[in-house]
Amino acid sequence: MGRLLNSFPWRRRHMESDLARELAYHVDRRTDDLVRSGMSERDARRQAELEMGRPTQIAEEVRDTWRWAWLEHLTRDLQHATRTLARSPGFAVMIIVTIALGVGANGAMFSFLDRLFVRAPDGVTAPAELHRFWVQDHDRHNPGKYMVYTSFRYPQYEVIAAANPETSIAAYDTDQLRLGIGDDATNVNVAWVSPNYFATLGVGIVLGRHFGPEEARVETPTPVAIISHDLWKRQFGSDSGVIGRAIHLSKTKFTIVGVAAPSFTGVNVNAMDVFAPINNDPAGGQLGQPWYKSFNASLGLIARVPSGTSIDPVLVRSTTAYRHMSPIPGFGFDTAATILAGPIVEARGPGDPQREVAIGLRVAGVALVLLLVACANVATLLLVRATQQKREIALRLALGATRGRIYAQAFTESALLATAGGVVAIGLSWWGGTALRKLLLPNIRFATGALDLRVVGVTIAIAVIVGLVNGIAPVMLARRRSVIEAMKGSQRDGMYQRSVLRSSLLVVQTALSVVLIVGSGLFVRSLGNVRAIRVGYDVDSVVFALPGYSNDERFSFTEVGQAIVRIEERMATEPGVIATARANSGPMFGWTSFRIALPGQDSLPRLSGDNPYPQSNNISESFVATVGMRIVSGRNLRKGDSHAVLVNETMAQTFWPGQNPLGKCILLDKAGACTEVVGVVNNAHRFTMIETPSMNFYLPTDGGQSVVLRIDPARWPAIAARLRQEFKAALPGLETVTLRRMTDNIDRELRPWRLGASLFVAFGLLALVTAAIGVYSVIAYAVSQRTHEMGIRMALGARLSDVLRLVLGEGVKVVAIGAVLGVGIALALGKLVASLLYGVTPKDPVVLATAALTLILVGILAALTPAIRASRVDPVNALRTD
Amino acid sequence: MASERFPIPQGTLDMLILQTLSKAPAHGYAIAQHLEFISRDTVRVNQGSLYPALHRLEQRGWLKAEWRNSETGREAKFYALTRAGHKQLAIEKESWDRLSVAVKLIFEEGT
Repeated sequence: MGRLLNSFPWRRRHMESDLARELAYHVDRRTDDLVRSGMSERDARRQAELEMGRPTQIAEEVRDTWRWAWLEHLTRDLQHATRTLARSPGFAVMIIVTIALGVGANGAMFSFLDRLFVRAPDGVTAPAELHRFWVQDHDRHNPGKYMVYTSFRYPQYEVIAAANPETSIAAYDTDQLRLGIGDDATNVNVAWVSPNYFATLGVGIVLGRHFGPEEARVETPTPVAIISHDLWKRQFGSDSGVIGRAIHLSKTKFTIVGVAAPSFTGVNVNAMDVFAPINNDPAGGQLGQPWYKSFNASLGLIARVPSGTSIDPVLVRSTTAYRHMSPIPGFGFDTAATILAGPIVEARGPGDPQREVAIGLRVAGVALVLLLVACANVATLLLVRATQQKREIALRLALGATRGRIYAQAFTESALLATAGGVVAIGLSWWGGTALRKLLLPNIRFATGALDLRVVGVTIAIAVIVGLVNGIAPVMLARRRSVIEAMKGSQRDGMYQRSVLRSSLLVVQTALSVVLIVGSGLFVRSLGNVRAIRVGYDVDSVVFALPGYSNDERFSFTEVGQAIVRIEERMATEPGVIATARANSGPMFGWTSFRIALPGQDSLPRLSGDNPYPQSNNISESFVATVGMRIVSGRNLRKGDSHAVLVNETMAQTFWPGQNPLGKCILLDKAGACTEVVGVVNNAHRFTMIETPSMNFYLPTDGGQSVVLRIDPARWPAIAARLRQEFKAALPGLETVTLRRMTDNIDRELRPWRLGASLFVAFGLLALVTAAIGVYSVIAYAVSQRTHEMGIRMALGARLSDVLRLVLGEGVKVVAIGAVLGVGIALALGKLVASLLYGVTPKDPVVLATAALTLILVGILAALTPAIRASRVDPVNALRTD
Repeated sequence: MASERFPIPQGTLDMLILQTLSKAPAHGYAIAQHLEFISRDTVRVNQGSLYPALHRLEQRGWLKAEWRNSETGREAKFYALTRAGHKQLAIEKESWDRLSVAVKLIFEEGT
């Protein structure tokens, strides 16, 4: 390996000048000698140079020896390394697997995070000049706190763009629509874009035209589209005649006017297939306003500010314009809102990352720790081996091998192992990267695969670093030992010497494993805690159905109400349906805000937390029983009840603390009549599993907008089909029916928790296995070295249990130190994950103790086999052998 | 003795260099001088092969080199045998001995 350095230019230069000096010396001496024998100085020099031959040729030949020498050495070292490793394949496999796991985990994490955090969207020009706009606004739910988000409304975009006529600012909204009609239809991602979108991003068109001024008209939609290069290839077979063709996006006909440059798939990670002018955005035009006045769409804003120019003036003008727009009637936006700018890569912006992304980041840290554990383990294994090989090394030193050669061989061996590990790791990176994408961001379609040159490069780089780091350890060990000492030592290892290096590596491994196990424990407990949350309904068996949202609202509230009554009746006979009910909103789906009042009171008590004000649902009298709620006191709603209301426990306690809520009066509007509290129901969650208590009340209805069923979950497919059929029969012309199972909601919410738990557990187990291998190999080695000592002890009358205790104690001591250290590290790192936990603190003593004890237990188990082997040592044999 | 000088046969130069250096460290010029002097000018050392040979032996770890003052007071690159070099010399000497004995036997059989 040292020879390899000869190919480095600086070394090379030095060697060249060295050679020139050497040859010059030769010529000078020869000249001197010839002059002394009577030649003239000039002739002598010419003669000497002639004898030397062409110096360039000599130099060339000498250079050849340099070049080939290292290759020769390398080949020999490789052969030697392969031979040595082939002699103990188990050892080699263990190391390769350890390296592959450690490196592969990091390759996979890199693959995932690179796309999310590092790489600018493909295909845009000068991404550093592009800025994404964010709004910082007061958090209406948490007074005194701010929230930061990227979504703008079209009128806000309009004023911001108007305030900055010199700057090119583009807006876009994203959507998922059906492309085509009938059975061939596929889902595509659509971006509704401002006409200057492509120009602002600097994205070219390979076919057709860009959006022009005609698409900038806001009054009428212009149904034209630019399709992505990928969709062009996928759907149209790269047909150049695609321009002018019509495509259907959810029933609306669009004309293709262009094909975007290859690799451009929009500015988010989710890959876009179709780009169409924003005046087509269906999200804009509800609530009966023209879309360009509506506050429905949520637009991303991207500005291009040439490098060297500050974006601050643009932000100041934008903020003024934005505040001037606010507060929007009914929206209650804060006039203190500020426009911020972030990089084009959304995940790097000032907002809080998505929970899944946050988990991804923590897991990246975990992957790094795993790599450290793997490194420590490989170093331990190599060290143990280097020690076993010390006789061989000493022998070779005695036979005249230079130390450099020995180091080079150690390095080659480690490099070979790291390379093999790296190759396996590339496969793992690809697999892991793909799995992480599916796990963490299942709804995002990535434009490129998980494995690209960058990932391969990084994976190899990590493997090389691992190889170098681990190559150094045995070399350091070899350097410390003198030949004589080693030869003498090899005569009899009567007294086994503890290696501080080896023990500390083991301590490090154990400590880091404890950290990972603590992480797993915390996430598993969080998952358990979230799972144990009672939302107040019988989640498993409750389903509900309502008319799907359609653009053209043909059905009035009353029409739907009547239909729902009919559907409920007909569904009651469907096998598997246990109970039926009606409600304006299904459980955990929607609520109505009411400005209610209490007689004789100016203001209402409010709750702190996410849900300060009471909200209502209108329900049929069978609702409470159907969804699995219960009457805590009083009675249920009855048919024909008009001025009756059910309140939940929180509302009863908040409005009438310490009093009987039954018979109390609330006013649904200030002038209205009294509505009497007839019963109190249990608390049930509004929308999510994790939320602060809310005040909910329930009013009776004769109609309803949803059918709510309690069913036998096994019969769900048939029931779902029947529901669709009944809805379409009761509401002729209805396009879609929205079907919900409560478990779907809950599962979606549990996903990040389950994810965190499973990722941490997976990594934790890997670390545990790695640490176990480490403990086993070190103890096994120690036992093999102490056979002689064991023999003596046994001969002197030590019992089996004494030997067992001796060996076990050795391992357990090291592991225990590591475990304590690990608990310390886990405590120090706890705050990094605190925000991702639920119902458990990072200092949870049960988790910490379990992790430490697990490691110690694993340590004992790993040490047990070698310990038993030691206790079976036959004293006579042990003393007789070397 | 023919007045013509022999070039050193392929393969033996390495051995001769090792042998020369086994007595004492020397620089390239001195090695050439020594070989020609000891062989009573029978062998001719070609600089074109001497220096590549020296570097090759150094690369193999049989020689080590350092710059120090020569007898003329100027700095020259001195080569010395390493332990591995000594071992190599012994190996080469032994195989040379066996070869020359064998050659001699073959010749004797022919007469």
